[in-house]
Amino acid sequence: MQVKETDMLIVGFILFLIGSGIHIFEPDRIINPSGAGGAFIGAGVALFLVTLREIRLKNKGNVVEDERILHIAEKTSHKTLVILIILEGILMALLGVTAFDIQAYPVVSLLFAITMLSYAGFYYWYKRQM
Amino acid sequence: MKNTLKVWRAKKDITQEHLAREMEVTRQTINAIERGKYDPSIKLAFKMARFFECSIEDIFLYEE
Repeated sequence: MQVKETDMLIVGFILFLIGSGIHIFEPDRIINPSGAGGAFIGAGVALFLVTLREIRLKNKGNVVEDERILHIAEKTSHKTLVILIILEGILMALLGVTAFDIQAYPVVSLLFAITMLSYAGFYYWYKRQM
Repeated sequence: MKNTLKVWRAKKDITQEHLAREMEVTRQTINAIERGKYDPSIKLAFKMARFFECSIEDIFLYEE
């Protein structure tokens, strides 16, 4: 196991602990403890599982990341960034014109969901193309 | 870009998996190159040419 994998496992565990802490203690400062806690736990578990999968593949002697994968990730990131810039621009313009008084949390959550979905979608699409 | 990687691989009688391990890439990358869906980097092309003991032009053919 390399330093990178160990670090990722530690970060995953810390995220899981933070999420569990938020869930159990429900601090007053946090508006939505179950949502925030769930997000941290989900991120921690996902990071843990992805790292374990990488370790398993590396132990089998398989290459996990190569130039094609990096090229796909590069194109995917670019497309996702363009979509986010367009969406955020539209959102900014709309909020500026209509002066809606909306909370930041749902908007940021929506942007986060769109980022994740578009990244996953474009990644899958480019992987099929290349 | 066209290529004759599959032919060279058949000449050496090795699998995509074997070649992928030699080139330190995934099997999917070798498959994508063979199907002409992905153009390898110059570094990988040189590595392949060295492995098959030929020139890059013997494996890859650039067409406009």
